[in-house]
Amino acid sequence: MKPSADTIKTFVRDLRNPKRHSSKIIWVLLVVLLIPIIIVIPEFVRPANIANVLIQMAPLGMVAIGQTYVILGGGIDLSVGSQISLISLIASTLMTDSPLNIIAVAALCLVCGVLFGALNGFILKLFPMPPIIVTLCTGYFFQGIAFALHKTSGGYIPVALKQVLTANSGFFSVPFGLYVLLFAIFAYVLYRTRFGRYVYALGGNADVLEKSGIRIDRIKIKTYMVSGLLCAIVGIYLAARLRSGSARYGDEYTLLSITATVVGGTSMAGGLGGLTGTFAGTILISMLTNVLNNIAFRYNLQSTYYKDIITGILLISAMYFYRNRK
Amino acid sequence: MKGMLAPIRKLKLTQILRTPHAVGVFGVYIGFIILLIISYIISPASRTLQDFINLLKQSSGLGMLAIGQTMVIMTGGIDLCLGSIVTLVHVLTIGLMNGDPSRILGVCLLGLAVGSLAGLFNGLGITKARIAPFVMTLCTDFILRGLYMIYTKGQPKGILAESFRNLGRYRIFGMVPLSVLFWIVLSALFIFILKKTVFGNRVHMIGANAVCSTLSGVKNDRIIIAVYTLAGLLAAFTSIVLTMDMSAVSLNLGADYSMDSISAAVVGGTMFAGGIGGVEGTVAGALIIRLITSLLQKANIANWGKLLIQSVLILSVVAANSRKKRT
Amino acid sequence: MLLEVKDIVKRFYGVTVLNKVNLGFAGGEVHALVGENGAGKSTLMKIIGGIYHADEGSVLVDKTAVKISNALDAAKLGISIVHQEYNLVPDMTVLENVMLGKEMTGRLKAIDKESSKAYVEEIARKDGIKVNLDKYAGDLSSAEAKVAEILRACTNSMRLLILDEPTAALDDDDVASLFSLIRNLKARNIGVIYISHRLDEVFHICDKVSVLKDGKHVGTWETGAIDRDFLVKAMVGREITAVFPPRPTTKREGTKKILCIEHLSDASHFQNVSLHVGQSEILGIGGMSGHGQRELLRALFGAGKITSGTISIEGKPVVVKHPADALKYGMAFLSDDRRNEGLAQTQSVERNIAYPSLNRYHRNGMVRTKVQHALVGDLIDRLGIKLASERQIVQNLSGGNQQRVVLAKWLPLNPRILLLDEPTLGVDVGAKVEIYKILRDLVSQGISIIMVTSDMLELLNISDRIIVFYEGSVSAEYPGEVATEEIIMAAASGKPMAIGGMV
Repeated sequence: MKPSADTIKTFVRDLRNPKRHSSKIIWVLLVVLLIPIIIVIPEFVRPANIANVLIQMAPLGMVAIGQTYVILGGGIDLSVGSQISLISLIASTLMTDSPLNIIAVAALCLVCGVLFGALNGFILKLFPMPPIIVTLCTGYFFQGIAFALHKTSGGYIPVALKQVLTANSGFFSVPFGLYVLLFAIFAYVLYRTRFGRYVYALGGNADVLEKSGIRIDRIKIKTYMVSGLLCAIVGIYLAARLRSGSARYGDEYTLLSITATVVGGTSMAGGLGGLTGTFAGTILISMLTNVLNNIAFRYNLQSTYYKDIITGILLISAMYFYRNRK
Repeated sequence: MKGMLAPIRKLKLTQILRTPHAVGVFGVYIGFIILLIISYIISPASRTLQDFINLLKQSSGLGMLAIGQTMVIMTGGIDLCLGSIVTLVHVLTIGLMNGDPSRILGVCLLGLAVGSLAGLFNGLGITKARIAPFVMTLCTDFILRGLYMIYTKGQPKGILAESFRNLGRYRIFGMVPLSVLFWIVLSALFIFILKKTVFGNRVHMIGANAVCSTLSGVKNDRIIIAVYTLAGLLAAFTSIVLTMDMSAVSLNLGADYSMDSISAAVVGGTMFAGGIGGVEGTVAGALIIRLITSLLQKANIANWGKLLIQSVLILSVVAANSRKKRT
Repeated sequence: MLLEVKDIVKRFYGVTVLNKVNLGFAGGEVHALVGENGAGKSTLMKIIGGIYHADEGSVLVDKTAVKISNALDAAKLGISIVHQEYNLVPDMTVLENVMLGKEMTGRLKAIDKESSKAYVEEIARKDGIKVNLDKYAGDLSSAEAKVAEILRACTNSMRLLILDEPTAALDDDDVASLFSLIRNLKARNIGVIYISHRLDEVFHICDKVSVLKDGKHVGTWETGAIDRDFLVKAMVGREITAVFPPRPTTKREGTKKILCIEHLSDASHFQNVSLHVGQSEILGIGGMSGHGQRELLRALFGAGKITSGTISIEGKPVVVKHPADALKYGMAFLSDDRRNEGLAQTQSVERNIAYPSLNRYHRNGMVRTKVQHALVGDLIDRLGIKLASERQIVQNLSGGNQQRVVLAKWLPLNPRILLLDEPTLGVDVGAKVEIYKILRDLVSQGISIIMVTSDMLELLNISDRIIVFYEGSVSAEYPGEVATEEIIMAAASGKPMAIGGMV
């Protein structure tokens, strides 16, 4: 299908007016950034490197899906990092080489993840507290349990699980494939089903949703459960990749997932934005991380330190850019 | 006329205690005493004055830092980067001083400036760019962490000047460390500022109802920026005082301070809803948090027990307040 | 009877808003509910809709007592309410808003947009509703939003529709189409409760009319059996002289103009407004709510953005960008939202009163406690604020007392111009009398007042001069002595009458 002059016109108009379709600006930003990157670092577009970027973006992308659900619903989940860490430790503590055990533990981890999310949601249902406080505290709580399980990284993850979860053949890798699959499912749920509508309405005007006969508490709890489930998947994946669990594995994902979501155009106030924007936000962060790693390698620097700074600045700039929206 | 008005003017203790905040503060001190008694029962060996002074000393850093956090929470915000300010100023102080006593003053002033700048940055982001306080300070936290990691390359270096360390070793009347004195003075100062000054009144009113404050002709932004800058300054000062007492440089010095300071403020009766609270409660809050920490250390479960207890503590205090507000 | 309310009592902060109200509403009948502002109409409807809970009494549907504890319960009983305030999700389309909570789904639980649209279009066509289903709710005009909300109510299996001031923001064409819609609903045996200030509409569309006054049910009549004057008397019918202080008998001719506005506009609420207020004058601004009066007042005080025009005080042009500037020029402002904007509810009376004038009596930034104490004590005395202690939290005061606290905030600054937005909203009659006295008193001391009010009696009896707003512009101006309810209503609907050469 060829884009007509009209669609291009609306596209440009929407860019200028960052109200409802602000997620488009991030795509433009991506393209604009890509050009100097290719010029300065031609290696970036080598297939092997692209495949690498895709693998790197998978865990962040998955966490960001959950974060997007929560933020769209007018909440925030600051406990995602700790949830991931705790799941990684649960997995590494309980797993043995038996295939049955692997499946059972993985299933248990997923259930735990959903329960962690449900805990966040239930506390919010019972007490009218700001979600930042609740998830900040539950985050510390989960991390506390994680430290109780293991002071440092440890445990055991069978090599088979690592092989399965990190398998890749050139361009196609399990982590990215898993991400695409999950993205497809959750994008479908968000954009095409009733639940998705209710998430938007919850963040947009919860009052109206309640008057329409929807139990808003249930929708809210479910958004946190989605976030918990995805954290569990990422927790298992990280544990498998590193063949251990640690109370610190998830740390960086809290701010990164919020950044990916907000940079992608989802409003912190809720009800505005969506997963496609978050997808682009995730690409942006992974792309920058990759480039940063490349530069850091050249000049013998520690890339993670710079990554923290860049993430912080990125999020502040995104919030500044979208400040007049609501 | 005057005689008629008298009954309104007089304020009895029962009336003071009728405000929920005052009752809360009273309760916090009772709670601290109960906790202290429990700790004395658990470990009879700690029933000494020296042990109590040690507790004061351990609480002093948190107590000073939490003054800033208290003010921030009173305006309806939150500051998640105070811990990183502590670490950044700490590594800068030690790294730049590097044993040279002539640099002490300059390095300390630089540290204070760095802390204030970080706070100012927060304040500007929150007011001018209208970024939610927790997002803004979380971002600043990451930026500062990146900065001190880059500065130290993960392996902090430097030594303190001996005269600077002597300040940390100094005891007033042979008993009270300087840090405790600083804590007492600063707490008294900020209790006074929050209660009796124009600035303090504005902090209360902005937290309670920012729109009302604006419509009363007050430029809220200035007060909010000042509060975050002060919080940064106090964090930097805390870091310098803590550094006096350190034998070696540590990248973990500030790690717990963001959460500890929130705990101290909230346990001390300062409410996230804004406008209600004060440093008088935070003092007891800091003591309680440090007492719990030391108890957990004795039980050898400090690293995770603290996280669990603090998170449950904050949640239950906030939940109790939110219930009260509803009815 | 489709729906009955029995002996309903409701109190807010000690003020009785509804006092043993008994009413019945039948299907296939349009039943008007009229009364002054604060008579309790909206409160009663919110009780029926499950938003408030009655302190006493019961609600009966089909003669059985029901418990309506939220909007969902109401919807299940077939009761739909279209509230005065905006009730849509701004970032969803009209279709999504209308179908919220009852989306049609197809394969794989996907929302079936096509059938939803066909379904809604069918209903819209049947009831003669015209609205663009694909528009985002946030982009709708207030008339379109109202129509969208009615459409949403129509898609529920509704038996009783409550319309709370539906025409407040509608123009004549919209009103006509709304009426034809109501007739359609009536033909389908749906009951309609119609709350309105516009008495013409009541006689035009309604079968029955009930009057509420000060929270009490005055009576219910067939609209064919009574006339307009009868209804107005039933609504007002109290000793007005007891409530409103007499106007000063001395003429204020030749007084100087204190505040002059020339061609003032903002981005969307008011355009090209010119007006002035003289010394010791109360300028009342009337009109339907939502026609820009509120925003004008806020813009004058620096709490809203002005795009063009000038403000001058005593002949000198001034720029007001922040309330702090307004204070400097001697202005003071009472918000219509006392709870959320006028006062900090969790703070003490003393702190609230002293707040705007803190700058005036400090020493190096320290509050001079004794001076503040004396000042606040004096004000509490002067305005007759009843409280246990000045440290008392504002939250626990009654509406009337709270409003006096708001007034007290400003007096130490010796303002020259008071901007009042709904000064007696949610205040009981006794306190109203007091507040009016205070206002008269202030005016006699040389203060000028601009008062925006939707309380007709207040407007007519307090103002020295009245300006009526319509769609963001001044529609007419009358001297307070000659204006009547009819004249104001006409001007407020955009068709001002000329009286004695004045428009």
